[in-house]
Amino acid sequence: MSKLRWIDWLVIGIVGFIVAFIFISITGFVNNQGIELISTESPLVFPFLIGVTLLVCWILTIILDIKKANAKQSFEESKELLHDIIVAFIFVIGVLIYTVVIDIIGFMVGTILFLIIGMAFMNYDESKIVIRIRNAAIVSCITVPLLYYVFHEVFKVMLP
Amino acid sequence: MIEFELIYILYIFVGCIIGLVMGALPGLTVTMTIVLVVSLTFGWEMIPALAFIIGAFAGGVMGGSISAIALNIPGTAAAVSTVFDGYPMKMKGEANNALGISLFVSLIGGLFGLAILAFVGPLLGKIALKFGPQEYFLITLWGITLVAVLSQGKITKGLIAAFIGIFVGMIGMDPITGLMRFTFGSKMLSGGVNYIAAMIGLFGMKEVLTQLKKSKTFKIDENYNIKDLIPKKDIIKRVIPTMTWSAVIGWIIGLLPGTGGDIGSLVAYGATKSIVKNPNRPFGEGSYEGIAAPETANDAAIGGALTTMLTLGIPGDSITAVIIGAFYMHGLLPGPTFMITERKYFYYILVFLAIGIVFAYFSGLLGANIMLKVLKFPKWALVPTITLLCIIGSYALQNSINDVIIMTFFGVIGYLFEKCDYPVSPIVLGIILGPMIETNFRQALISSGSVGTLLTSFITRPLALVILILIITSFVLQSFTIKSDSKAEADN
Repeated sequence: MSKLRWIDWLVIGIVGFIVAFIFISITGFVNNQGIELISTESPLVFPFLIGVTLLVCWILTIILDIKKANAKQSFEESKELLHDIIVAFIFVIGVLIYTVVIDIIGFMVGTILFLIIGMAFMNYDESKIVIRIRNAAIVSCITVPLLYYVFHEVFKVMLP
Repeated sequence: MIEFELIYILYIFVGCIIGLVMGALPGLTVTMTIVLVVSLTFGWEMIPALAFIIGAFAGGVMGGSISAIALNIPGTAAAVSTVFDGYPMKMKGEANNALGISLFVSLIGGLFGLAILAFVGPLLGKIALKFGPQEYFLITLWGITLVAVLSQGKITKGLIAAFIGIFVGMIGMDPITGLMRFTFGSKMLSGGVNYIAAMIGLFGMKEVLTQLKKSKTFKIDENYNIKDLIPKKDIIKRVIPTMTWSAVIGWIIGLLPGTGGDIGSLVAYGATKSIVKNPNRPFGEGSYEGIAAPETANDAAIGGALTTMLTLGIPGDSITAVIIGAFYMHGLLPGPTFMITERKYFYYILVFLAIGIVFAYFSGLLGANIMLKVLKFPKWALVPTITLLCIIGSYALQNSINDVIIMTFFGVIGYLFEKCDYPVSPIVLGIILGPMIETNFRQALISSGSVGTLLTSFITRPLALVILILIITSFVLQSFTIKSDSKAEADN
């Protein structure tokens, strides 16, 4: 029995959600606002065609993926994939927290902290955490004022 | 006539250096470089911004081959086939020759592509003026489906990505009736999804998330002798025929909507392998022709891709999709009327690109050793800094945190999709081309009166028929191309 990875199901779910959303929205427009679906001037005809095409491709992809999927996915592969996704997830959460926090503590301090954490987190070259943090602090204390100067003063770009 | 100020040269030079460095770094694509460079130019006037973006484009394409030769890892997708012979040449103690050939043929290929663009661009522009909505609909649809079909072995996934891009392009106000569509009830989305924020997410943030994977900084201990980077006469003589056909192949493939330097270089490599019977060494073991073919083609493809972009308003690949987005942002509208209303910008682009290609050559030549040091730049410092650039770039679009959230969202989507073998480029092309496809489809439908008449008009209108034949031909040709690409990759 072939088996898809959980991440494949997740992406299939995302695409399925988009397909469902297109059709539910179109149904809403037709039922609630009385907009014609099939007419030459309808604003819904093109989205409907896109929805149908997506639906067909979505079904075909599921069938093809299931056919191609490895029956046995090694425990190591599965563990590595989960690790990658968790790391990416933590990083994204960090980015979102950073965007909220800089409003409170300011760009300079917030960004230096963000870079120190990010750089220490990513430094696989060094095993000692103290050295990781020290290196990250040195680099970010140089990088942030430099970026601030280049973006804000030279390129006149508004910073968060 | 165009007015040329010397300061433009500085913009091109700085853009070119940034492009070279970022193009050389494995994992940082040319597309990502352009996206980040564009974010610096939001508040600039159009011409300096053009100079800067085009400089980065020229530098980025050339930079990809440096890591391909030094590390056996292509800096960009277009440098994938450079690895086949570039790295074996380095292992045989000919790193200087490998990089020297690569830089030289890139220069010639780039200038060739540009010369053809200068000649063909205005002619194609005249033809494009005769296009109606039917022709536009067909040609845009051609571009987007070609990208999807070229996603080898995963056509349905490519199509899903392309149609999701079109769906994202539909979010917000309907371009004809003004109806609010697919906004999820959010005010944030009522103006549509900012395509630059989506691009920064799909190319920048996605790459950051991919690079989070455990890996150590590269160790390189070699040096180039700059004198030896100038290729010897006998080597140039040997690769001239290869350069000639590869430049033509690269330009034509760049011209096709949906294809770019990455495909062009693979096809040129495959063609060279079948044409050249006596290379200096067998292909895959460090042949000069094996480096000359892909490097000439990927630079010649720039001219081809720009021809389609400037005259038809259709991006040829993900890089030109980002560039067209940047042009829109600066108020420049490539398309059939571009040659009439914006003719001077066409010449600015030509001149800037020519200077950029020459700069990239000399910077690559003189700065090869610095570039090697850049490759040693610790990844732990680079990736968070790029994250910061993505955040600043998306925020600066409208000084809004909403765009940062949109950028991050698309970064996650791109990351998850790539993990499951869905190509990301068609999403971007879909976002850019979606509104164009929809508007032309609906205008064609309204003017035809019914779906049946619309379908008939694709055959009865001579230009539409020509495009239809081109579409069918290109799909047939693509199937051969895909076969030859797979063969080239399998053989190496």
